Amino acid sequence: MDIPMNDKNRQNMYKLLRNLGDVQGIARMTVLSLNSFIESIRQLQCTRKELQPLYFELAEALKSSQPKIIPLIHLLEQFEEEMKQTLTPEMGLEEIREKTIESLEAKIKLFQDNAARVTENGLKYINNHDVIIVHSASSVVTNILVQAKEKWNKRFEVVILEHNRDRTRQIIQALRDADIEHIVAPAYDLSHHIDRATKMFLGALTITSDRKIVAPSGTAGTVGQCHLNGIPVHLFANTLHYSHKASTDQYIYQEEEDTQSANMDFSITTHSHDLVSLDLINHIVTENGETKKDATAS
Amino acid sequence: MEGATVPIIVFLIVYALITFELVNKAVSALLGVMVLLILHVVDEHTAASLIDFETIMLLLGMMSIVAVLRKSGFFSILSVKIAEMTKGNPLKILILFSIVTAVLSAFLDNVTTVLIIIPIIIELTRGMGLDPKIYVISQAVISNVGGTATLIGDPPNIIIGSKVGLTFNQFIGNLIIPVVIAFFATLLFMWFTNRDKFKPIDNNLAKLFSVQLLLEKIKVEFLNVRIDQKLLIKGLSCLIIAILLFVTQTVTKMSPGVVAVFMAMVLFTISGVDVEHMLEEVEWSTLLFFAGLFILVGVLEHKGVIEWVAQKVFLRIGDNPYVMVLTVLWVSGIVSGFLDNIPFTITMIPIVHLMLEVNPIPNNILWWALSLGACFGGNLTMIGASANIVSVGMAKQAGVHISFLEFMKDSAAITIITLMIASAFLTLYLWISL
Repeated sequence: MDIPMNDKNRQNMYKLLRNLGDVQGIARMTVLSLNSFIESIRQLQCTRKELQPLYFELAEALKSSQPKIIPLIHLLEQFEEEMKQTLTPEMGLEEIREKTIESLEAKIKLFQDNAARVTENGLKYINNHDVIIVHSASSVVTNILVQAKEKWNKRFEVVILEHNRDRTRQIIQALRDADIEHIVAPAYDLSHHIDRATKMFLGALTITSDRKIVAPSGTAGTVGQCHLNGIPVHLFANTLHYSHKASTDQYIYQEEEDTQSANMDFSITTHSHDLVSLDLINHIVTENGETKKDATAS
Repeated sequence: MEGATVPIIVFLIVYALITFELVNKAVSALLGVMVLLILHVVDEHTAASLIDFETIMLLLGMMSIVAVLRKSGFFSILSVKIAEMTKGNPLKILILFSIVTAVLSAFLDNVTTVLIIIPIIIELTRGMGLDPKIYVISQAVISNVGGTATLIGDPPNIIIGSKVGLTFNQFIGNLIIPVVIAFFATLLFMWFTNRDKFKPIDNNLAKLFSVQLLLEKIKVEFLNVRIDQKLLIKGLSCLIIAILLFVTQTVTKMSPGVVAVFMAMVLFTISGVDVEHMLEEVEWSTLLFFAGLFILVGVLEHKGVIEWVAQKVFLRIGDNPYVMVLTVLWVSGIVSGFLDNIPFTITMIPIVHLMLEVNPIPNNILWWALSLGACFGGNLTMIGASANIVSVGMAKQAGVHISFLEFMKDSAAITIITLMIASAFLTLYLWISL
């Protein structure tokens, strides 16, 4: 067996999680992580004695990721709890492997079921002739838009605010495939679309105990502008996104990028995510339906 | 050799410009041709007649088919699938990517092959915390080995096949054995000399997990183009039909150049692609480079320079067939390592013709010696083959710096091993043939 996970391996893993999260969004990232966990367990070659510490070491490392992936953390906590109760000294290597995979698959199903219910609950928030602003659309928001058109044949328009090329491409693709009318505009161009907008939809990485939403960069500005103009903001997230901890504990990291203009060098500091006050949100929709804002605080 | 001084000087200057990459290759060759035209060493009509259009057509056709296949997303799917199949096992990465590189190189040009393979192999190995250098070097070297197997695999073979009239089947039938042996010898060498770096990671859960994430990241990055299934099917069908027509050349009497351009035009017609855009993907500078070189070497041949070199250098070795074959093989191998193997092959063809007049060695063995020497020899140094230059350049862009000596440390040993394999094969083949 190799030495325990060193800091380099840990940082490498966090970097991969960040890269994938930026492109895929937190919901897909959670499922991808659990699937990767399952696949790595399948391939793992070790003794019975080594197995359990390895599982828990990886789960612990994932729970400490930067930034925190709250749905994944909740699911891994459930997984660890289950494993502690399920695993007995009499169990053989293959039996443990089987039980572990079974438990992780159940976690994926739980997450997907919750997401599907949020989507189902979100459909009623779309009306004909709506003009919906989306910024950093999560997979659940994308699914709501697509299903509203495909299942309920709603006629509406989407204003996609571009903030991340890959994520924007994904939502454009989904809307094109579903034949949903849409335009793409830079996020800083929002003021030219705000007059005809009827609502804004967003997803969230985390909803913290101090009533903040952790969302992709740029979200705060868009939400703020919608709030000022009286555009109702809808947040769609399943309860696995709720954190028991405050926004200061979410490991939002900052990066500095050196740049140059004419003969002057300077660095630009950016944060990985925005923090948005829950006070600016009008509707919070979870797998249990619309939830009161107060219910989010632990 | 009357009036040969000017073309010799022009040829040597062009050769130097190409070798040291002082000026773009195509510009160097065409500049040389223009000097000859301005000085009335040759007229325009004669110059045009010296171009081997069969070679140009074959390259043009294959480049066009590859351009359409690239647009379809075929190469992205292929490389991602291979990355997934490796499951992050370092030895599997070496073996599976090498097999794909060798096969692709045999049917596409080597530069296209490394352009497809190198980015993903760097992403995969670096993401796993492995040293990408050995993987980059191995793929560059393997592309040159794999390309040796077929008429269309490597420019020296295209030139030999076209100028000498050898068929696709003759190439593959005669060269497959030494190429397969050389392929395995190369893999064995890379594994043996770096065996501590190919340890499996299947006893480390965290690394296995990171590899799974990495494979997902690679999928997202490399499959970000929309896969056009209809275009993919049409492109692959045309490529397969082209290869079938190459194989049945003796029956259809269609030359490889005609087949390639014909299938490319059929593909353009049925696929509905933006032809202007596709034609931008064709490496016109390479085609112009070939055309210029054909003229320069043709003029030297007309002026008797090639015959003089043959008489003074190659025909002095006598008429012992074993000595002739091994001399052509090793001279080609060593020279191709330091000079571009395309102009070298074009120069050697009339020389080999003259050698065959002295001793008609059977079964085209002298041509196979030239092919094996020019193709395997390209691996000797970083500048020996276009695929090496492109691979090292792409690695550098990705932040992986491979020095001339670092490349040569592995590649020179592989070249000597593969040339020894070729020597043994050709000696045995000659012994059986005589």
